[in-house]
Amino acid sequence: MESKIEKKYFGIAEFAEEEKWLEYHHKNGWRLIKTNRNKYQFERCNNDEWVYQIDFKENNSLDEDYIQMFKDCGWEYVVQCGRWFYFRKKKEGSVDLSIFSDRSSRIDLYARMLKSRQLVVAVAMFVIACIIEWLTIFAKFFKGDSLLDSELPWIGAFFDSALPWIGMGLLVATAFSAKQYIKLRKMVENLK
Amino acid sequence: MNEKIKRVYIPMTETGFYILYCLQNEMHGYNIIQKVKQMTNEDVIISAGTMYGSLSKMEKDGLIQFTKEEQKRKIYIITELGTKILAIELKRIERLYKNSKGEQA
Repeated sequence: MESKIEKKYFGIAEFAEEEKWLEYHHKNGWRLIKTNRNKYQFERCNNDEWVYQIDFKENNSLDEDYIQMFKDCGWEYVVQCGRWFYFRKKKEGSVDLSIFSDRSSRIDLYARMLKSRQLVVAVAMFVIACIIEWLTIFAKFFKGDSLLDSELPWIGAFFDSALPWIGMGLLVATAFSAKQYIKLRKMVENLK
Repeated sequence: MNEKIKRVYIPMTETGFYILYCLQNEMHGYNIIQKVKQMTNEDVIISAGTMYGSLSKMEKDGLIQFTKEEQKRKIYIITELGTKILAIELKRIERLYKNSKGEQA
């Protein structure tokens, strides 16, 4: 069967966009077979309207009763990627097209994402990067000269030149995660 | 009774109420979804993710307990704690209903 692979990256808070993207592909005759959240593999299918829903579970264990519950509710289990579980259902009518039916369970979903170690670490590093930048800029502005010129000149030189760039690099690297964190917090606020 | 449990479950969400109410009889998640759909004339349709998450939470909090697994479906029943909580919630609902009709609670 004809298949294709597409590269795309969705942040932890961008699962709704990911669902829409997968639905769009399915409508155009390509359905998802597997993914590692970096590369998506599709195979040829009928141009029908299918709904895609992605769950972010407490852990990455594949529980049989979990899959069976979704199956009973008419969802086809597509694939698992870590803690992400992909389901789809053919759009017939407008009832039960989401895997969450109340605010409380949706807030729980966001809470699981906010607690994920990957996000927590990345946001912590973002904050550290901001502090580094602030300190180096602050030092430059008000001290003028190197901080530790007197005792260990090479540390002073390091602080002067390399640290701001390291900080900036860290900032850029973690900015995307910080954006995801802010987006998740906003989504929670909208539900409250 | 644990004050934290009271704070979390009283008042109960509509979903939570219907799940706990149905689990006075032994059944699995999808049974509950079907029963609630029928009971409420399709007004309340609990989704898979919501059901699975709610059951896990309630089991962890001791309101329901797992009895057996049949054909990959976990079957649950309400516990003594769950029954107590449900009783409190039912009283609250009855008060709301009576007051809403202009009656004294």
